[in-house]
Amino acid sequence: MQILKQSAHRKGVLNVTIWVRCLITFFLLCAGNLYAENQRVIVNAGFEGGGLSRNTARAIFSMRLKRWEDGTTITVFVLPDTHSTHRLFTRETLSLFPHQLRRSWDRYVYSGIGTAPIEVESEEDMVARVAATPGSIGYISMEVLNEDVRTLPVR
Amino acid sequence: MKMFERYPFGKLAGVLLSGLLACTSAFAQQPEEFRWHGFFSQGVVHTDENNFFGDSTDTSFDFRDVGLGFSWQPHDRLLFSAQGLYRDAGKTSPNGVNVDYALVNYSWINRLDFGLGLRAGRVKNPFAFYNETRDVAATRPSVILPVSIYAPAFRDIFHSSDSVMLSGYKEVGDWLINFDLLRGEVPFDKRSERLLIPVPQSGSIEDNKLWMARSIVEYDAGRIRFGLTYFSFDSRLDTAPGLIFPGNVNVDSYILSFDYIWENFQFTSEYLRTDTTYHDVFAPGLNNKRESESYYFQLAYQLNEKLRMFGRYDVYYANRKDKSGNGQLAFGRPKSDGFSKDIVVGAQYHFADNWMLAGEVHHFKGSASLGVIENASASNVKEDWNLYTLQLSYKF
Repeated sequence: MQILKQSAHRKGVLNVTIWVRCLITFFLLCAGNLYAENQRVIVNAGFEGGGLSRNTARAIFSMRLKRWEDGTTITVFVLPDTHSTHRLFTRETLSLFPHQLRRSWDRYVYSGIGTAPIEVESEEDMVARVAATPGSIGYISMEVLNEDVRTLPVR
Repeated sequence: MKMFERYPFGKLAGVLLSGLLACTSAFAQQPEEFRWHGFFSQGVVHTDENNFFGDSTDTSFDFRDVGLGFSWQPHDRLLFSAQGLYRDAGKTSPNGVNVDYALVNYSWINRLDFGLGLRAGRVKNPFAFYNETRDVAATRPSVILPVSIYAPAFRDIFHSSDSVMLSGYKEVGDWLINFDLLRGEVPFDKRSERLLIPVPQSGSIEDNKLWMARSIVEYDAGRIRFGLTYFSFDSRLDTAPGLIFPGNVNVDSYILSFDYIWENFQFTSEYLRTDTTYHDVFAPGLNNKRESESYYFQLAYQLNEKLRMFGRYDVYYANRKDKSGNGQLAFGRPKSDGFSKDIVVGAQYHFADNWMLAGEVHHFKGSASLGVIENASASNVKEDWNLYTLQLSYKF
């Protein structure tokens, strides 16, 4: 009997351990998702479209797609490669490695067939430049507090 | 304007560039319309035998690239761009400034699923994965590109051309099909012409025509890439009969390319087959055809965002039907000029934004990847040799 009780007790402890682990994993996953949702694509407030597919976002940030559907030029702003927001945005929103984007930009610039995005130093600069440039797009991790800029969901 | 004196087209490009610069200062309202870019690299090469990029057995610093270029977008669909390049790679590519490219791009259709554009001028040839940016250190997977496919000696003939090009893409689900078609000519000079004249006899390459077609199919924004390149070059060799005779020189190549990114690993492999045919050159009525074959396998690992390591095995046969190089003896060259097998390991360290330090160690078996001009004495050429190189580079 004693042995049976002990083993039941052990089993309970084991179940709790597994459950706690599951819970931690769950929270980590949620945290991961929250993190992902913190990366916001922003556009100049003049933009009239609803949202972007991930494919469109990739085509824009890799500099392949140069014009919006209405024919106006897309101006792309990015943060430096080593900026944590750039790395998170590339990984979480575009599902790309930063070096994949870099490969594409380098090919355009150094073979003369296109241009690279315009690099800004900080997220504050990013908001200011997007606000001041019609047809522009960028991304930030903070709240948008500028009426000339709006966020755009990426699905 | 010394840089533009090399070719007649270069002169035209020079005038065009000067005009563009003048227009730009007058019309550029938004600074983004006009943009500069550039790069620089300095390398050091040491070999225990044979010379690669200078007198490398005594350690050579003759390994330098400096590029400066601009792009100007006066209109949504129109982009002008040009780049000048100073390059030093020992006697393989002696010091000099060249117009690397100078072109106008017209973006005709640019939708998400389909795009089509035209380019004209001096363009970088759409050749395998790395040719278009081969002189920009930061875009290469290693200090020295796989010598089998990107032979330094042939760089000067086939890296860019004066051409008209049609380029586009088509999206099909998660796949993106890119394609480029090119028709033009190679801007030869006295030195690069010699690379196609098989013996030391005066002559010139005339009426050359270049065709190129490439398609790169990408899956999931370039996580997997397949490439196929075909190119065809036709020319006439003009010379007074002597050791060789007037005739035609044709080069036909095809290249298969494959690249796969999985987590922090990247696997790359390319295969090249080149048929070089001399019609009537060695004897009137005789067709001399040489089929070269090359391939490499490369595995890279990204340790963190700053450090990348790689290993590669790279193979080249000057004549796939004579892998031990017996035929080289007839030209007064050692048998080892018929092949090259290179095992290389190296690393790239991006120690600051735009800066990179890279180094690698090569063990070669065979001397086919060496410049004959730097290793003129056949008796001094060694089959087994090692190469060590370090390179510092910057780009903006």
